[in-house]
Amino acid sequence: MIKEFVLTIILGAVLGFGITGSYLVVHKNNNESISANNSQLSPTPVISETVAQTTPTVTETSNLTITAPENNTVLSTDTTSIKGTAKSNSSIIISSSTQTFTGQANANGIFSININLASGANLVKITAIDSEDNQTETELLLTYSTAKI
Amino acid sequence: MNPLFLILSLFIPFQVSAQEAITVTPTKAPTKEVLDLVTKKVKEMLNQESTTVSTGPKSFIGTIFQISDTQLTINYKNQDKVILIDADTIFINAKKVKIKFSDIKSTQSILAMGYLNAQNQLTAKRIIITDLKTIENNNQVVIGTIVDISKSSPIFVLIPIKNKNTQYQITTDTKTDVVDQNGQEIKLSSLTAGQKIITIIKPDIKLKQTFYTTKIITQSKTSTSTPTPAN
Repeated sequence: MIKEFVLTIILGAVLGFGITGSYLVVHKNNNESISANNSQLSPTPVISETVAQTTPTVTETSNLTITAPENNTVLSTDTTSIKGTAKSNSSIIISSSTQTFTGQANANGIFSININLASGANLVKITAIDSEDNQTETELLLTYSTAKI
Repeated sequence: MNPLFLILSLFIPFQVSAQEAITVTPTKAPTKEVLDLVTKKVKEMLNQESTTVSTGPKSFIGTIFQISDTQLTINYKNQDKVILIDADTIFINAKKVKIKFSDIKSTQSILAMGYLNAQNQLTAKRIIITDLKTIENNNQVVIGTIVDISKSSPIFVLIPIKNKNTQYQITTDTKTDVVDQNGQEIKLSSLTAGQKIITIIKPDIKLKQTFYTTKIITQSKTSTSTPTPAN
């Protein structure tokens, strides 16, 4: 009888320590995991920076990347969106020989600006000016034609 | 039953379960693997978009410097491009009249439209004789500080922020578009010396060493504009 009683106490103690210890280990790991994940999530620009470096580009300079449309593209409409990336919050100025369009890159450096095209070939200059007044420029040949190509 | 076995059999499964709980801790926050996966998918989508665009019609401009029975070679800004000619190629002169391949001469400037092959040669479907001067974009973007404004004529002097050894004499007229950083129109007369602006200029046809501005964007000392893409 005493033997069983002692055995039960030992068993209870072991179980108690086991449960308490395991709970503490699991709780600690959970906290570390959440903390690590939160630290990975907070700088969202990391995604866009990675994309910006590897985006298939038509025209690229160090601070200005045009993702669409591709240089030398023939378009069947007289409007298009110039899409790309620059340094965050850069001023974007797009000029053709007859018109000027302006916009601004967002906090991740992404911009999309609608422009009008003249019939035929359009040499479109895209300029980005960042917050430190650094200026980067690139040029696209975009042709607007309704003829069957 | 052996008491030791009993203790171990009760304790070990719990430890294993605890280990599993540690390794597969489910968290709703995305992990690095999820972020990598999203990045990979975005890259794939962008690649796909680029591939799609590449298959569409393309165009080249340039001045012809070599003609053979099957191709033209053109040059623009020191870059040579080969334009392949076939029976389907249509030739159009500056007056929009169809002409023959034999009418095409060296030193003529053209706009060629067609499809690129693997060698980056353009198989032309349509070739138009073009005056490159009408296409060229002489616009220049300058960010600088206004140092002087004429009271008698619509002229001001601008010194670029990044090149203080240069000065631009810039003319304006009623067509000059003046806006603030938020795109709000402001009066040309509100410009003052010492003001920082971005301006789009091109050589003034009427005045030598003078530029004409089509647009002026005033810059506030502290940027307060909302970073949203705008037209």
